[in-house]
Amino acid sequence: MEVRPELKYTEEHEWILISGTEVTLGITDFAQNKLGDIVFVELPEEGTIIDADETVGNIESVKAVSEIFCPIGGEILSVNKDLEEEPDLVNSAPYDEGWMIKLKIDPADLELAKLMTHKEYQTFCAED
Amino acid sequence: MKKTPLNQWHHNHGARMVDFSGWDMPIQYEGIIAEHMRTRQGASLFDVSHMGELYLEGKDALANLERLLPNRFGDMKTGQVRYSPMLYENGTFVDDLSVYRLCDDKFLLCVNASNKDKDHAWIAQNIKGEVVLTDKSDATGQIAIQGPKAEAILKKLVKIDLTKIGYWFFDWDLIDGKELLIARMGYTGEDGFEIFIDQEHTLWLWEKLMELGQEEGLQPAGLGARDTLRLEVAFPLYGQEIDDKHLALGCGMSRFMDLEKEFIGRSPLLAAQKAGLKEQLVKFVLVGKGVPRNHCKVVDLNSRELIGEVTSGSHSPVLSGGIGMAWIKAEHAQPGKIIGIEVRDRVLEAKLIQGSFVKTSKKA
Repeated sequence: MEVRPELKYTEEHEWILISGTEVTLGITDFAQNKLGDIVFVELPEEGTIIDADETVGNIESVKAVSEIFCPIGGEILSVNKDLEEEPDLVNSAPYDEGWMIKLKIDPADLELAKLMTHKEYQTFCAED
Repeated sequence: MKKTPLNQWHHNHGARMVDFSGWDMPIQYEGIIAEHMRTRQGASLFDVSHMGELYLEGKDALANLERLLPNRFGDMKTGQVRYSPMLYENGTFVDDLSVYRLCDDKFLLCVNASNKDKDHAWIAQNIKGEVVLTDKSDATGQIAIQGPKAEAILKKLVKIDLTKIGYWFFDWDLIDGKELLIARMGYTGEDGFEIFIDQEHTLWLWEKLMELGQEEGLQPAGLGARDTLRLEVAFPLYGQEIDDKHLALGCGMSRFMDLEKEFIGRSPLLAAQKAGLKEQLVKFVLVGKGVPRNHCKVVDLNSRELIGEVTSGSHSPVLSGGIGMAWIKAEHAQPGKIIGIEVRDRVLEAKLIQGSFVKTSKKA
């Protein structure tokens, strides 16, 4: 399983990339592998205001459905429209073309968010 | 947990394993969609050794079958297979099964793994006269080779002429002293074979087929693909489409039942037929994106009245969209009608269709 040191991770297997007041969110390589073939990704509308730990969408694989949690509140700036036609990008490139949402946040909120480093996340997955 | 003779092979070859009604079974190896498409276009190997094998033998075997099951068996030749529901007195399902005529007075009944013990008890309770019921499930392995290239692969192994075996027929062959019962049938809608072999030789057969099928790209497929494959051709699955709550009417079972003869479960069916069907099993295709799931509610699009429940719902790899089957109120079951499927907080539009969802390589 691939993890990237520049990202932070949640217990629900999302990753976030923090860049000032902007956060990009997706699901991890571990999560996409567990879900299997992803066939549909339901994402929120741009402009939606969300709270921390809210469900922001759903990922449908052939066998199961899984919720997307966002560990931090903010405004949805954009969603990955490529996933409408190619949901399997989440399987093939979970950290790149398979990203899901971009969010405008208040960096002060990050202190409250429950996030793991890549090392902590690796340990977390090993125990899962 | 129960294990098939191929259990270790699955573990060694990267299968993702699940508990399938008490059996440790592979759900997928490479991925459901890849395995599904390979079965439609080439060939796949399925471990179905968990299925139950019951034998009915004796002078009165045929008479017992005729009374026990709704289908007809008297006109079957040795080497022929016939599908049938098996019903309770109240007309609901004990199980669905395949009956193989091994000779005049001996039949093999292949039943669902999850129902095997229940079926055995039900049959034992209802047979009479000169007939013996035997359960050989533990001693028997079963492998299905399915797909348009199945015959080309299997013919490299066997001595018999496979082109002489029609759909729903079988024959025996002896390879290296091992006896194979080879039936042309399957649960995928594709051309293919289901092969019964002694438990101890199952791994030999599996590895032999894998080796012989290399050229054709043969790979194993798990229960995940088996489920999406059978759903695309609208085959029922016990516990989902058919169960001990629904009558064997309005669900495509009529052609497997002879309502003219006496059998267990017949009178409630006749009564319900006379009164008019209340519910029907339908097939639907989602109009937009999304994936319907088992137990999703079905509603009328205008009134939002609850009209039924999804029995099987999934993504169709061939159609690349959501498909499913559902029991709904009979007055809504018109082909072409648009119904609503509740998926989480949304109602998705779905169109009722007739026939199979996809075309396959199966020879009629």
